[in-house]
Amino acid sequence: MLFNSLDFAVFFPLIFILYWFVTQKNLKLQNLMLLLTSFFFYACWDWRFLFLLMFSIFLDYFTGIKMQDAGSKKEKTFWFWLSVIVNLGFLGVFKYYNFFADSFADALALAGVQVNPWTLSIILPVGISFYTFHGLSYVIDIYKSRIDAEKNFVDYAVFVSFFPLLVAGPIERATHLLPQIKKPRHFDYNKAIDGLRQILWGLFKKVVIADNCAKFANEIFQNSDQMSGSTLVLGAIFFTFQIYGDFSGYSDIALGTARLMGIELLRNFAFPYFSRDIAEFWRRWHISLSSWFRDYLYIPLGGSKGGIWMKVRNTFIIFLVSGFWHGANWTFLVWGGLNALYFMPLLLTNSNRTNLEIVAQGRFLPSFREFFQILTTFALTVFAWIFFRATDLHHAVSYIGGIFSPSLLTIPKFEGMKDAFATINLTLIFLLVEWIGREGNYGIANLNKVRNKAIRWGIYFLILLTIYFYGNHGESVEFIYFQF
Amino acid sequence: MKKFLLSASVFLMFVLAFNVLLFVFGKINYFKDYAVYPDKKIKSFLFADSHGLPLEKFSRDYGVVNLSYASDSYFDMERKINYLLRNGYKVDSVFITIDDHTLSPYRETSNNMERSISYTSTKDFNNLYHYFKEAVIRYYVPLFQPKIESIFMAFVKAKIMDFIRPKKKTKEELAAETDWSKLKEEEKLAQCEKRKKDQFPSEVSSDRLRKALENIIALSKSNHFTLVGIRFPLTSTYLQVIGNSSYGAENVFKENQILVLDYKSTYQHRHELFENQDHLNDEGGKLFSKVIFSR
Repeated sequence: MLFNSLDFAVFFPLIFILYWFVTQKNLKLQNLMLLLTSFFFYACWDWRFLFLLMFSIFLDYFTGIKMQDAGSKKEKTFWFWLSVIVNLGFLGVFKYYNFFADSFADALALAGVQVNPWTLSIILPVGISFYTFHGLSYVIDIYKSRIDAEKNFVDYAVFVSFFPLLVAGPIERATHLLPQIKKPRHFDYNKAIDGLRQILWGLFKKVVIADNCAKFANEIFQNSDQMSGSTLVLGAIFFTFQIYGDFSGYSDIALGTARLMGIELLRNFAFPYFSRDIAEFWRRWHISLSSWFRDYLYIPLGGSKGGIWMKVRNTFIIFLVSGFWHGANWTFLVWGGLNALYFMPLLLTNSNRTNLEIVAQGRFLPSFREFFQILTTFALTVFAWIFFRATDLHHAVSYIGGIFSPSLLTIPKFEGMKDAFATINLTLIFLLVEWIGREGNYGIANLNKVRNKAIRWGIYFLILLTIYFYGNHGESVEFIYFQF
Repeated sequence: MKKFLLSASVFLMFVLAFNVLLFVFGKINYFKDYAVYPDKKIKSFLFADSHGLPLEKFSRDYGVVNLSYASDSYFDMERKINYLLRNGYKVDSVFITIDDHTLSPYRETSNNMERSISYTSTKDFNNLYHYFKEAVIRYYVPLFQPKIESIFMAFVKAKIMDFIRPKKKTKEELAAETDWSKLKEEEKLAQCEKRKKDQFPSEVSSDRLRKALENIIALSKSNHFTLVGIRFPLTSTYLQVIGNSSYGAENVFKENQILVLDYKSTYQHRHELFENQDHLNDEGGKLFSKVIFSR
């Protein structure tokens, strides 16, 4: 069930009514209802994988309690590693087995040994990387004695499977979400309105920006060998906005939906394309994953406490693991490695924490220097996305080779170019709105400051009309991050 | 909560008003004239896309009701046949198009599924919710109906453009308005090339349409009516352009040993019988009706 589907438009109002009008007076019943609806939401993709989700929930719940009750450090460690190995084992089998089998066979082939690897013909359970990381953060926190194990199974299960975040995050922490699940929620008018507004903006990003850019990005990437250098650049830019609109749009809808239910989820995006350097970009892009890797991988590895080589090693590790988390393909590893490389000058000059606040705070326009920094960071990001989008390394290399050709200086041209102008204009308007709203939590968050209701509603209606008339409804484009 | 519900209701009233506008627009410009519920005495039916339309005025003279509609697909035809069978029609014979393009992937997306919903019942869907979603919500809430959106958008754009700058007709539009037989050879060729590109976008046929066609064949066997496949006439220019391109609906019929009436190249040199490269005109429709229905 996609957030931008008629099914969800039927599903959510029903859940809203059940949540606030039928079960609100009984927290246990309300949480049970949340759990059942979350399972239903997940089963709409493939009911068979519901059992995998249930098993993962039960495993972490059970090992969490066992760790808490363990009589010795050794026993605690046993339950901890059992959970980690089984969790990562499932992820490995479903997501990475074929990649390792094929890569192993390729490596042997280079040595002249031909083998036919036994590969699994299985589909990837939607959201497996997200709920596995949910569970992992929970057991790590218990193991490190940061939190107590949750005794109430339903509450724990809701923490992992809460439907707005189940399939594509944000990756929540037990310390942030569980307390909200355990206490009664009260309806707050302002928060509910803010939730609706964020859903509206998320829909705009997904249906108007991402899905329209997807049409052109797909066309250009799929026929990259026939495109001019300038068209290839345009294709990479289309993909840059596609992935941002798609994933941040999803996150906005997830956050807005949760807020309508009185639950605050972690912020996942903070205007990343206005970043002045790559370090800032990674503090603003997929924040819940970046902070997960920071807390559960980078810091345990020593973080930035050791010598320079340790910092370099740790940075490369988290970027490569982050790339690999996205998918079992060398392209994601190169994408991760490239971002680590981008990071190096900042790390080596100790300037990776220079730009902590949003650019041009309190001003409308950035300085020339800031503008140049934003443009440079954006260009580096666009370049890295080529690896993320390409089907394999050969495709990525030939795509980049195509860009750096004499045709780079020609006017972009492809079959759908005439239709692309509307999308380019809408993307520019979108960028302008995001720029104006960059000090808020999302693009149009500051609309609540517009006192005149008619103007405010007029803008909402205009966004709705734009979604209706300019949205790509013709084809059902799944959210990119569902595959991760 | 009261304040929220009140605000949401007022806002939704505006959305609803827009929805009503779209609904009325859709009713007048899109759904009108699609559904035809023939007299129950009729036993023979013709199902086709726009190729069947020129036969509209003449088929009744031979006791055949023409249920063809522009862009109809096998999905739509299957729904219509099911409707007839479930509603007490004594179906005796069904003439159905098996033109080369009918299993084209373009027909899988460009069809009348939103309109032929009026021929369905709950039995055509996996469950009641699916029926409710497709036949009720999408119909009454065109905000969830992309087809209406594109038609409405085109309508508004055309009105605005007409107002701002009355449009001069393009070469192609002028050619389309001219009698096919009077067009120059290069104009004919250009139109044919464009048509081929639309109808034959890839080499692979649509599995879903093939399945729908097989369902229709199965219906004919289980309900004991005669199925007849028709290949509609084409002009020599279009025949030359499409060459051997075909998604093979004819083969499906032949494999099932069903009668095929192949008139694809019968009138190829009689361009005066055609409206354009692959559609008969009135005169052609009259002649062709006589040929296939009075056998």
